Amino acid sequence: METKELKIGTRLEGQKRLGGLITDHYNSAREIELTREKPIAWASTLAPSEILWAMDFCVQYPEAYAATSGARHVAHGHCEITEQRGYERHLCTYCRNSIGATIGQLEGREVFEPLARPDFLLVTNNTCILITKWWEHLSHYWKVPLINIDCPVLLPGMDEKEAVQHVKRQLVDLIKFLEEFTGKKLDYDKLQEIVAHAKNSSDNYREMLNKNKSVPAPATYFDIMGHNFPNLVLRYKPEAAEHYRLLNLELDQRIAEGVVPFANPKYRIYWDGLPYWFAIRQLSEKLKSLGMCLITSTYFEIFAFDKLDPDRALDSLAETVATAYFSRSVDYKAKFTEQVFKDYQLDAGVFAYAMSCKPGSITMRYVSDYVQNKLGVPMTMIEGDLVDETFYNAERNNMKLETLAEMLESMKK
Amino acid sequence: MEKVLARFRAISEQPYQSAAEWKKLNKGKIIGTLPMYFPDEIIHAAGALPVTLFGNDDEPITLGDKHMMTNACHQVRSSFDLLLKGHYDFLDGIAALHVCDQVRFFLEVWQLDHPLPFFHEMWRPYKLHDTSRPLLAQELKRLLNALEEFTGNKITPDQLLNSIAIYNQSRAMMRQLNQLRSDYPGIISAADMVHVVTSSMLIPREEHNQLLAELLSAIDTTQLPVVNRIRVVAAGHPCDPPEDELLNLIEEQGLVIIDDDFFTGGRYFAEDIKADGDPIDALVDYYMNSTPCSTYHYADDWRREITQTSPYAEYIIDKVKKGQAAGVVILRLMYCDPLDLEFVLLKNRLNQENIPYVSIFTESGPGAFEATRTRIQAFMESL
Amino acid sequence: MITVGIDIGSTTTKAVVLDENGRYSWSVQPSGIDIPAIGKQVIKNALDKLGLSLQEVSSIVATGYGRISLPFATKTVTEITCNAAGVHHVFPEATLIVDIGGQDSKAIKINSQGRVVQFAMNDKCAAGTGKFLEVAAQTLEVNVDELGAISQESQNRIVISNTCTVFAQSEIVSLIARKTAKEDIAAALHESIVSRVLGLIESIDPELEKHIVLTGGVAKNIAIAKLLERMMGRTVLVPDNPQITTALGAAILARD
Repeated sequence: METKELKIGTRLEGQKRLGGLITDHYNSAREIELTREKPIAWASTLAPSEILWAMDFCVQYPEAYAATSGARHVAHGHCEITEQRGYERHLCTYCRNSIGATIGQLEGREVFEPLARPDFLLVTNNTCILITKWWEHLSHYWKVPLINIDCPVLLPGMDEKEAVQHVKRQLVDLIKFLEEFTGKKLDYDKLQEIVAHAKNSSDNYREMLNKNKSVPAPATYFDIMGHNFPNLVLRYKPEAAEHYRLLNLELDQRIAEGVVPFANPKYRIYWDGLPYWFAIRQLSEKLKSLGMCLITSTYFEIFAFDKLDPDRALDSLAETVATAYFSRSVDYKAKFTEQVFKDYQLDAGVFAYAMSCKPGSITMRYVSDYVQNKLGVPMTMIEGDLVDETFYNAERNNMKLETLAEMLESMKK
Repeated sequence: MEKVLARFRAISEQPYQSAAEWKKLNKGKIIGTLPMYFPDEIIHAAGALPVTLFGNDDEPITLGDKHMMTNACHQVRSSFDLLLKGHYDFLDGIAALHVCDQVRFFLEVWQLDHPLPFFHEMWRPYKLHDTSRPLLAQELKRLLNALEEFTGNKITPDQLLNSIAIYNQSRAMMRQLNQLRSDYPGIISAADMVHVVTSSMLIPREEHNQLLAELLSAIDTTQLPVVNRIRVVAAGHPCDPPEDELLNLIEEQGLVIIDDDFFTGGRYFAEDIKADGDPIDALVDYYMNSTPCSTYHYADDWRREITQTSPYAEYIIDKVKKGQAAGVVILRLMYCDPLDLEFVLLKNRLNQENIPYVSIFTESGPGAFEATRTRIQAFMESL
Repeated sequence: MITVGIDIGSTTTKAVVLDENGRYSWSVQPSGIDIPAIGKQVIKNALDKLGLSLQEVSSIVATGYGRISLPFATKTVTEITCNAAGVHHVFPEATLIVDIGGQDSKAIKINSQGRVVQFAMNDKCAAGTGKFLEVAAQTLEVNVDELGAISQESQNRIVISNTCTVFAQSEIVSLIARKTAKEDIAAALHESIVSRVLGLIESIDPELEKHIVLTGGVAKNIAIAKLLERMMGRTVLVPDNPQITTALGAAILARD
């Protein structure tokens, strides 16, 4: 990679704006918790929250809370609470963080910035099956209703349209329940408006991801990763699309001026799996020191609600939920990942195995081998967990990253 | 009676020998299915032999950890290991549904790593609700079509109903045996009860029905051992069969298992499928009304007043009360996500009802056997 | 030019001195807290064997767990890359390396230039590593170096089903209580360790590799090499001094 005339960028301006959006969101939720002017719902990442927003719910995301807990190093403490109640250590740590924080909240313990208490829970099983059991526990603790949208794995031979219909039937049923629950009818015009905002936000989000196809890339994966928050939590508001629009302008400017995120980025690297939330800084520093610029990850696909269409609000919502990336077969994911390597001109891959996340990790070796065999790019697999740092050994992982750098070096010769 | 029991034991201990022999004689197709709840009746109706694939406790896992997930359950890792080592090469195909994340994700790589001529995954909706019925029916039909194509045999509704009837007969006899074990504790050991059910998943059902009928007629309730043991219900241990050694250990300490909810046990024969009308509808009904399991999501309860935290726990409590049991022995597997999450709800409910229980992890190695013995003894002494 | 490679492992520290004619000497010492001091000592011992002094050394490459703690190293390279370079030097045709060290095991695929193409590691647990044998030897009350020879005397094959070192220990105790012969237990232990490593090898897709090179401290145990050969159905080559292959590779890379 040429390193002529490259300026080193400082922190993205958009970071400040993002911070403001996040603070406003949580402040507003705390306010609503006190005034009870709106019902509060907890939703899973791939849930059809558009329906909740259209019915004037304030929506919170326990999975985003788990990520924050990991980043603030409080997740392990939450998980420990669950161990005392009989939850086994190997269980998903997003789940145990959430349950631990819930128990803490209910028992008046000190819990890091707890989520506003829910009146309703909405979960989908298109990330995994365990999540449905996890949320059943949440509904027992909070004593509030839970609805699960069952999303089939898109198996070879299965007709995708049938999966979409299956989800749609459940969305109709969900709406019926919510109308009973809130005593209000769903305003379909409002739903359409929200889906329009969400689509706008998603399109801009996708554009943001595409910026890193540039060589050199204007930002690293670490710079971008926090910016999935607006599309996940705030896409119902025009502010989300606006945030991305401004961020994209900023990234465009960087590309035009040849600004890079750190000095001497030598290699363009792919990250597979979810982030190790507690190790962001450490990993970021280590990769920087090796000249490795983390460019992108298929993890970002989860937050891309591309298929939304305001002209077919409910149908496109059903499609979005039914055909999410995590519902795809491993064969699909392997091919998709290969394409990402090509589109983003990537030199190597880091596969981040997470001890307690089976959906993410079991198929990692297959995808890594597939892409390596097709494209001849070196890969490494590091180990850790999503939020519980006791499963992480920085030194071991550093060694593997160094080996990857050495492999790349020797390929140049 | 002993002779028939020995036959059941032999089949369970050499699970695929019988299948291999059947293949030589019948030149038919053998389809391996993974636990739990696969609609074997459809395979039977296609003229193929359905055989359930269990892991092997005595074979150390080597290749099966190829994809690194060593904190997955033994059943899945071991069966993957056996697949890679060629132990399942007598199979013409594999069919499964996703009871849990481990099965789902391992299955994805199974077919890619070691392809078999026939491979079919079926989606069983987690939500037991009316909205799930159409997709479940579609998935059952998709399976039926795939089997028709593979075997070259047409499966008419009557044929499927006939297969269902044969399996119902089997389940009815198993229920009969189970009731006898509750009425006359000690009449059959827990280990043998498991062998009876396990062996049914390894040989043609008609053959097994004959053997089971023989066993039932050989039971003479007038000549019974006097048993002064404490009645307990055994719960947990989904998917693969619990080891003889463990069940015998439990029953040697002064307890007698009068009912259980193992897959290779109580939950397998609890319900029948309606053997008339539209067979696909009947299968859908069967799943929708199935015995509570930690691998299902119970949505309906959340529309009513929340009184039940766990239908599974209620099911176990019901067994305890009906069987007049003194307590529950919960057998747990390492790294079983569904049961580990359900356990927390179960123990809370058992505590609420003041039902004594002991929880035992079954794979702690032979060194832990003595520890298990001590725990069971302590449990018994507390009853 | 004279170079030095030093491999600072968690159990032992190894140094290799390589002269301009390709001759090399080596020295091994137990690792300890004072890494620079031990490092200096081990290097000096190796230099003494060739009658050389530190001043004559043009470059030092440090590798292994403690590589970042050696202030006088010219540069650091990971043990995987060093192992590959070392094996390539000894067996130029080699394409697959299995390293069973004190606390981890690795499978490494290399190309015809001795560069690393792919690698997999088991460093989560002690099973499949030297630690497993150490713990087992202690339980059997024999010297870990004797285990290989003892296992060769086995007449009855038994299986140790526990892959976890801790549980395997209690399994051994109960086998001893049942009067099982030590040699049969030793043989089962070897089978267990090789089985664990097989899974690792399998994960880097070794179908096309002609033979396997075994390195690391455990490779000194010929029973392991023989068993691996039998279980993989392929030739297993062991360098004369398998424990120092990585340090040798470091010394070679120091020439770059």
